[in-house]
Amino acid sequence: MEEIGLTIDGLDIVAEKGNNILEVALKNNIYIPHLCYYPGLKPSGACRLCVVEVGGELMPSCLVPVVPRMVVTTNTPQVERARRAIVELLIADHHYDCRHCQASGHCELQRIMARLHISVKQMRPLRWARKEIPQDTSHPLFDYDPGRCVLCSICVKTCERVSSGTINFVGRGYGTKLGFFGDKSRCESCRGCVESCPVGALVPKSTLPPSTEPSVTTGL
Amino acid sequence: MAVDEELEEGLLREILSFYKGERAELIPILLEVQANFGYLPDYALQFIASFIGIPEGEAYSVASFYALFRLAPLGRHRVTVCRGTACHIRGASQIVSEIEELISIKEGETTPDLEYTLETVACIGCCALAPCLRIDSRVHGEMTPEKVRELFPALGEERQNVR
Amino acid sequence: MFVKQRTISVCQGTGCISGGAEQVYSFLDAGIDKLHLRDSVYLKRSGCHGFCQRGPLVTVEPEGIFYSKVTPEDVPAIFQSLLAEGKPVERLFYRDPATSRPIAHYRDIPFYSKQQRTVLRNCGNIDPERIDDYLATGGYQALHRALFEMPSERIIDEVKRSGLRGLGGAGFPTGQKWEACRQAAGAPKYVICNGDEGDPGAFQDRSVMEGDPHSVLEGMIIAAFAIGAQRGFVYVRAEYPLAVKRLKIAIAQAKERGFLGQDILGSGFGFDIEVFQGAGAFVCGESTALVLSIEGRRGMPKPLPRPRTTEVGLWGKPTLLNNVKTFANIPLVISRGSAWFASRGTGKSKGTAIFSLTGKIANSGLIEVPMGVKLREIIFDIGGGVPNGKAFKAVQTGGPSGGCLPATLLDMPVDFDSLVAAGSMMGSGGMVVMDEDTCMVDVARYFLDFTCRESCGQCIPCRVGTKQMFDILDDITRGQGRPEDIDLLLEFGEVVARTSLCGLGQSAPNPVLTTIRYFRDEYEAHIYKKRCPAGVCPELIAKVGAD
Repeated sequence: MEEIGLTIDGLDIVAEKGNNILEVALKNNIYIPHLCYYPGLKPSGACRLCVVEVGGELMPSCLVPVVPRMVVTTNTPQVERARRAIVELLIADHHYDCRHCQASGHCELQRIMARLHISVKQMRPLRWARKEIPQDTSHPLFDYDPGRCVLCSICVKTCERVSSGTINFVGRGYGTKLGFFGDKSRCESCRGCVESCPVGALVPKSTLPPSTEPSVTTGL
Repeated sequence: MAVDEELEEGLLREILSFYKGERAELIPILLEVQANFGYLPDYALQFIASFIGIPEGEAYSVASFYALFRLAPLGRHRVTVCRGTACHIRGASQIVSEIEELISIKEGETTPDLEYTLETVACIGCCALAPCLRIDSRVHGEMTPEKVRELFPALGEERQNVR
Repeated sequence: MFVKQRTISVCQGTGCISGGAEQVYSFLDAGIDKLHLRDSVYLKRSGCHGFCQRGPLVTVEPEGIFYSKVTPEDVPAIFQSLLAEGKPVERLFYRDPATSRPIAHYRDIPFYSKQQRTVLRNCGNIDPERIDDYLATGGYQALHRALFEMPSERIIDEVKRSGLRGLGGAGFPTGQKWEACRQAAGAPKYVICNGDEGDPGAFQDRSVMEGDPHSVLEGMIIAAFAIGAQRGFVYVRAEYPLAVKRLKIAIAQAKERGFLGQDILGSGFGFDIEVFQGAGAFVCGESTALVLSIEGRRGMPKPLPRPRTTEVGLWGKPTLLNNVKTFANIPLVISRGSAWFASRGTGKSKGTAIFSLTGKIANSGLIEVPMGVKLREIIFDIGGGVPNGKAFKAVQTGGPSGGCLPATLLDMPVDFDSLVAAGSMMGSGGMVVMDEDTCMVDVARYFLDFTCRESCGQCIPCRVGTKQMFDILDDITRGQGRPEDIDLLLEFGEVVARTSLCGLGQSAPNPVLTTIRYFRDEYEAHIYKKRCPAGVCPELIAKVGAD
């Protein structure tokens, strides 16, 4: 594999040609927050969390292939400002109830908040969505919480590879969620979707918490 | 009911007979099927998906993206109020409220007797006649709450005549 | 009875039809039969004049008499006026909004006389369903010239020299785009006309597609020849059924006469055009989303970095995508030459711009003026100013992607770059005039409502950010604004603008950012005093009333 030399945050890095900036950074222990990136899947550049500065411009690092002598900065005020705002928007829109969430402890959103030092108490006073969207329990394998879904499309892409897609985006814009239209017997029960979900949107059915769980976020 | 289903399937096949089954035909097919059925029933989506050779979920996913596609039955009369910029400034939201009161449903809903569906749309393209609304295919411009009240009894009369 | 040779033209654009123009036409038609005037009076339908507020519109040639708000009951009077001693029907004349002075001839109506109707040259004058009308104005001669007298490079060169920039919003140099597509590797190539005019408040593309569809087709055919494409699409938004109908008729007629099809005019070049109907998604005006839509997919734009559509477009092939008005300009560029075209407009913005002037304005309609005309002239001289004695407050340009400009900017020239410098943009050409009774916070809320509904939902900044901004604005208009809200809107607005995946999200905050910039006091009144100075926000008026 051809090797390429570039600089990330002042550090000289050697990378493989064809890799994107995000992969290279993570491999070299430089943390770049990301939600919709998953190793082995084609990156979509959708969450925008992985933005970095290249030549003064913000670019999604998962979509930019490394080139020789590239200079990347991941810790400029512009980048930090962008990341913080995007995470805060997400939290205020999230069915935020870690105590009762299946994914707590291995949730990418929690990880990002910890790494970027963002907490509910200290974030700016946005309007909280207080989502009261009911769970979708129609799928035989898992339960889906649209209030926790970040629309990363990892499950959609994972499913496509296995069973030609029984999970899809439905709707448009703010109301977009996952849908499982059609013959559910096409599902191969591979559990790839549940395992690759970065947050607590898709949880296995058998370990669902009791139904008395409140579905309204308590906000701040 | 079985007869209806047969007829409907026959109509579907008839519509699809003019197409080749290519992916790029999906939206034109959905438009035509909806024009004939009034909306896109689940079984129609499944049929179309199979015709084109894509998973059913994919067909549903595409249909659900576009505002024009109805995935649930519509009322006989479609009332569409324009909420374009010009119409908004000239009082479109008042027009919407007036209609909501008159036929007792909210925007996006259909009356229980399946007579009316009320929707709003971003722009009808008649901005110089704002505020506008469309009932089925007729555009009515320069609307006021009074004119709205006049329009609805008129529609009611049409229903009488049809019977 | 003796009647001089006359042509009576009845506008059959969507606007006039909604006012009863079809009935006016049929009454006139019946009257001509009854009075045996078929040999002397030629009755025809015309496309949208762009002056829809005055419709139904009827013009009488050769005098050029212009009648507005014509009803079927007025028809007998019109026939009376055609007699030898008959006088034109004065009560149907257009009246100057300021002086109420009646004006008989459309050439004297400032709304028309101050325009330079080039793209709109035929709208209102020809029957869009008769190709012979188009031919009679010199139509398809440019195509002939392009096919037989000009090699592709020369055609592209002419377009480059003309300085024509895309009129869909971005203003990208058209000739450059054509050249890139011509040079791109890959076949087959495609030409797409973007008729997905989704900006609420803009209807230029509708008028051109309804009123002069052949001008668009001719432009597309010339483009296809220049870049080497065989297949083209006109993407028309779902809400324009009349445009779809007129385009289909025009395509069929063009094919019949050999302007489309296998061997166009015997040149050996073949090109076919289909109409593709959109299904209700504003975001599909974005080029990659439009292409995905034709391919039968969800219209979710592709993020940068990615290859340009001219290189990788429809089905992965080089695709030329231009707006309706851009194509409609092409026959003129070719037949009258790039030097003529570049003689109008400003240094960097050549030719004309078409604005759809709406809102609180006396003469609402389509206005085509050379680039560089002052905002003041458009609004006050041509538009007739703000009616009912109200004070001008702001003008919003560029639709949901644009910004609101205050009175202090009325003397700025209207062209691509000046508008951007002021915080707005040309965009679709929508120009909505607002007066003292317009609440600027409500305007910002309105636009965020729109962009939030139309967001494709892919990326967090746009999907969640526009909703958040809308929620804050909604609260402010309902008296629930908080002191930190202005800063929140500015901060998050800027991040949404910088990090959104596509132009929709990137420009969505513009109305908010400009209204805060130029009308901050209104925001503060809503937040701190719970007052709506313009008297619009219902919950804040009620509060005042209760005091």
